Amino acid sequence: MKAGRAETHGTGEELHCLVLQLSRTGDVLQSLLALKAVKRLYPYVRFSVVARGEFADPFRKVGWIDSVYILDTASILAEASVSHSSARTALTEFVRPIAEREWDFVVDWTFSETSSWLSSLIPAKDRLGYARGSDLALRCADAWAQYVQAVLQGGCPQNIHVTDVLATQLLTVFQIRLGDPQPTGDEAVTGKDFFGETEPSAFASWMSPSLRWISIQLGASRDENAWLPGAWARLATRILEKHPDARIVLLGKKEDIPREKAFFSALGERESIGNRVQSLVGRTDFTAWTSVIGRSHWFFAAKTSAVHLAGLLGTRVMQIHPGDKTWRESGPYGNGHLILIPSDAKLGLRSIDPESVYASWSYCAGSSLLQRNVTLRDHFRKTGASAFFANSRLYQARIRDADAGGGVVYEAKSPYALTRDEWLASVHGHIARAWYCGWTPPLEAEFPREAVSPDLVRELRELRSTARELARLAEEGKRLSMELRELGQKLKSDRLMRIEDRNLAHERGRSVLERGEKIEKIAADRPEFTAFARMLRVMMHNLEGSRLHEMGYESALNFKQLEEGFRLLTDWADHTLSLTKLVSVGAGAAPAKGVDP
Amino acid sequence: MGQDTESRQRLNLVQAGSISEMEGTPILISEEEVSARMREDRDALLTGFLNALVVECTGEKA
Repeated sequence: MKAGRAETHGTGEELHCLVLQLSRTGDVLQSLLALKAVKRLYPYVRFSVVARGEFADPFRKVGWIDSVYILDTASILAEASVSHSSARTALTEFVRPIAEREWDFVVDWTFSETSSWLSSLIPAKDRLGYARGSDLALRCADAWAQYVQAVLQGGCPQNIHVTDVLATQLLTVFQIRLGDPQPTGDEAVTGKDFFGETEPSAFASWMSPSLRWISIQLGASRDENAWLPGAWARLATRILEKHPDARIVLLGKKEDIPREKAFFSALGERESIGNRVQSLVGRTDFTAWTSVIGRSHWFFAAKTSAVHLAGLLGTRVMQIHPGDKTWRESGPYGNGHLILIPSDAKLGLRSIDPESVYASWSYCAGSSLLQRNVTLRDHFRKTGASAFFANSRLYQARIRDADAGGGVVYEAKSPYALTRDEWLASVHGHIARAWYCGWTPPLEAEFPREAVSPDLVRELRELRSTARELARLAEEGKRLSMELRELGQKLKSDRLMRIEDRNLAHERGRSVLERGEKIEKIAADRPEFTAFARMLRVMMHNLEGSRLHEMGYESALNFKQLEEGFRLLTDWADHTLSLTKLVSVGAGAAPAKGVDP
Repeated sequence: MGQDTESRQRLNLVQAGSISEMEGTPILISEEEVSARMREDRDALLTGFLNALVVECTGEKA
């Protein structure tokens, strides 16, 4: 058993952590998974949450959340439409009981303007996420919050899953404040019992475990992210024709009822098919939704928060995703989930055909014997989907071992050419791990050689020379900031000083700012460096010192962090380019592990 | 003992932000002023919270 304060806390001392999660279902479910992972390691920390009523059910359903405070937005807005002061009174009444409790940690996982104000209204010993500074400007209370603001919310490509960002952020501060976590076995965080014992359900009677149940979520987070009902119907027909033990349950909200009608219309009137499809569209509350997905063997969906629910319940997911930048950071969490995206995001979901979804699913859900003896490409051909092999890419989720950095990764199952943004997503993720966890994977582990296209080689060569120039600017910024710090340390006062000292301080300060401006200017012309420019801006906004020497030192640390990032980027570019040199003529490159040749 | 108590009080006041340091000389602020400042801060935060909530939900300024 490891030494640390964990054992002391285990003797009875409890700590209280309040999490602000004012977002919608998808974010609520991802927060809940991160909290469960942290709770397992620090069981004596008691969690409470603030959520909006319509999205709070998942928090209410688990037994280990102490209090769920509901922010009743509708009633406060109704008050606000009458008078500002009555709305303020309502908000005061809402905040008072929360603020009167003693919190060891307040964690804003909403990362919004609104939540930042609420966070600062609640006294706490430690604060994470967004908050308000003494000047009432929005502040990031910790380094991961800076990454969220600059990179995730800035729309920059990165591949650390949101759930991993949240869990790591909280675990980092717990480890610093509370010591090493309690050792745990290999017990999975996700599973059918995530919400405790499932209530006796009306669905249990007909969802026989001897049959293979597949639930399909018809709608999506937005209309443009939904797959066409006709495509779902063709996929369902294919599955039911090929698998006599399969049964299908349709799920959706009330607004998905037109999709349900279109689905059945496209399904036709074949009795052997229609009899094996049940629809619960518009008829499930959270408990029923959970019950059905939990009893399903597979859950099929487009881009919707429901994939996170299936992930919590340990039900394998086949997600049909439009392939925008978000899929790596908010895909289904856990081992074995599948994601099918268009090979070009501009093509959208219409380029994904039911035949390719069926071929992907039947291959990965099939026996290991099948996967050993038949390639994915051949399987596509045999299932009549070879025409679609080039239009889509298949990925499979895997939880990485803790000693390899942990977290979920999505591994390519089909061949692909790595784009610049995909390359950047991986590299940004690794740079963040190096900055905040002190961990980077071995270089050779990341990119399969055959994924490196001539276009990428050309882009990386250009990128590498710019990264070196940026590293030099960051190094200068660091040196000048340290000079500013030394000057500040010599001064008896930041207000009263000799004219020559004042001029020198101005000159040094101006030089530091110029280096930052140059980095931003280069990033404006080269979007692949946008993440770094945004990080610098966010970090400089969050300087905490009030004295010249304090700000000089913090500024030096920020430039140092950026310089490290540029050097890591250059290392990754060097490594990726070196892969192309290793190919010997005539020998043929061996496919990467798990990737279809 | 008395000095300890005074030190502790000063520490608490510094943590509460009620002692400002200028040129190395601490300036004590009265308890009423501390309360008034805390009230002002809380009022400003509440106003910010309400405005942000209204903007987020309706797109209009409160």
